[in-house]
Formats: sequence, structure tokens, C-alpha cells
Amino acid sequence: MKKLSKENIQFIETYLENSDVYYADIRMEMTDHVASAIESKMELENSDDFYSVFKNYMVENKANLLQNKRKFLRDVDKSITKRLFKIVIQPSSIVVTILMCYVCFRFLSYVEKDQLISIISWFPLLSIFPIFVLYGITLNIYRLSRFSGVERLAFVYVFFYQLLNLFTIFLHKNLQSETINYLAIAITSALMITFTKALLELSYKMIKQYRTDYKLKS
Amino acid sequence: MANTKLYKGSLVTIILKLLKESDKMYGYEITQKVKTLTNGELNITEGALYPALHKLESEGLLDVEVKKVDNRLRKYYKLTEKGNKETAHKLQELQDYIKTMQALVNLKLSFE
Repeated sequence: MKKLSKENIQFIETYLENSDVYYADIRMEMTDHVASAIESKMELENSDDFYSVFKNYMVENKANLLQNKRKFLRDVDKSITKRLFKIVIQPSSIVVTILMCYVCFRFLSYVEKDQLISIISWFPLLSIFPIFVLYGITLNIYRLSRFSGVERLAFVYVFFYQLLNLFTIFLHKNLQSETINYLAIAITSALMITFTKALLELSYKMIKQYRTDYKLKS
Repeated sequence: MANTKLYKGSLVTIILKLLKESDKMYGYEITQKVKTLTNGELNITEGALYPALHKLESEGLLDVEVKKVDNRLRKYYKLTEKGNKETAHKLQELQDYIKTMQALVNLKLSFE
């Protein structure tokens, strides 16, 4: 069986990366698939011309390969949403929500209105902090590549950040009114804390999963 | 080539069955195995195979293992315990379907 050289493999990988296959996990699998197909073709045609076989293969299969990428990302998004929802409804999260609701409600009764406005304005900024921690850990400490799950999780964070912005607008309006609904503020705060916990838990699980799955065995 | 629409609904069962027969398999290997077993009648495309594999993986039916083979990384899939149970269930479902279809196709109408 004919085998491709390191340079040939690198060529396939660069080609896929230039075709917008950014994520390391999906590109790795596609590279292996294309390389295996080319090796078989070269063997069958008894050819040593990698570039010619590669070109012919891509003309025939590129659309199919990129279709795979799009479906893959849709599945990743679906999987993230499902896993996040599962964490939010698990017993420990429900306990955290109830506990946080109580703590927030008690806390609100001790805090002055002006102080509360100042604290709340820090919420969006604080909420973006976990994403920096996540990227710091994955990219610098574990030196993970751009894995789809971790990167798509960033979209959830951005969505969450926007949600928090809305939440703070609601709180500011509530605090400016004559009758402040402390219970509503406490419940919303508790839900936000639970969601942050769920996001962090999922991030941790994903990083752990990638590190286990991609721990190379030769 | 075969009518792919007819096979589409059975893709997951085909994948699970092949993985049950061997310890672990990678994507390209699955496509080639199907081609060989069906004498080239059925050709699974990358656009159909990998999304199905990833779905099965996210459902916990498949486990993955990454190995360095011939200058590149290769992702192997194998059945989990849950996957083994699901394979038996899917195969039973498919057999029932084939039986029903055979009964319909082989039906001899009384006025014939």
C-alpha cells in the first residue's frame, strides 16, 4: 500500500484549513479520510503523483466534505445546548438555584439602593470573566487546538452576556421605580448564577473530554 | 448504484452492525467495508457518514480513541455498552421491517 509523506499530509491539512475547516477535531478526521482515499487511489492507479490524485479527488468530493463540516457544527451546537440543559435541571443545580435565591433575597434587604445599582452594573463584566479563564486554560495551559466544542461554547457565552445586559437594564428600571420587587431580582440573580455554574461545569467537562479523547495512543 | 433514499434510514443500523463485528473502526474503513460487502452497490458518502458517527458519539453509543497512524491522527470508533444494546434493538427493528416489506412485496392478490 502506498503511504503519504508528512509533507503530503500537511498539504491536505492546510488545504482543508484554507477551505474554512477551522476546528482541529473535524479537520483531523477529514485529513485522515482524504489521505486514506488518496492512498487507495494511488495504489489502484499505480501512481506516485500525489498532487494529481489529490486534485482529482477534491474535484469529485469537496462539496461532500464541506457538507460534512456544516452538519458537524450543527450537531455540536445541538449537543452543547442539550448538555447545558441537562446540567441546569440536575438536582445540584436546582439546589444551587434555591440556595442562591435565598441568599440574594437576604442580601438585598441589607444593601442600600445606590449600592445595589453599583453592584449590578458590574454583572456583565463579571460574567465574561469565565470565558477568559476558559480560553486561558485551554489554549495556554493544556495547549489544546481549536476544538469545535470549546469554540462553539464561546457563542453560548456571548449569548449569555447579552442576556445579562438585558437583565441589568431590567434591574436598573426596577430599582428606579417606587416599589422594588426584591423577590423578582433575587430569582433572576439566582438563575443567572445557576447558568454561570452550568456553563463553567460544561466547559470543564468538555476540556476534560477533549484531553482524554485526544490523548494520543501510538 | 443503489437507490440511496431506501438505504438512508438504515445508515445508523449499518454503522452499528459493522462496529459490533469489529473491535474498532475509522470512518474511511467503514465506507470501504460497506462498499466491499455490497459489491460496490452501496456507497456511503462523507457527508452522510460522519454526521451519523458524531450523532451516535454524542448520544453515548460510541466511544472514540485517537491514534497516530501513518503520519496523521486517526479517530477510531467503538461501541459502548449502551451502543451494544442499541445495536441489538436496531437490528431487531430492521429485521421486522424487512419481514413486513417482504410480506407486502410477495403479496399475491386473489384476483390475479
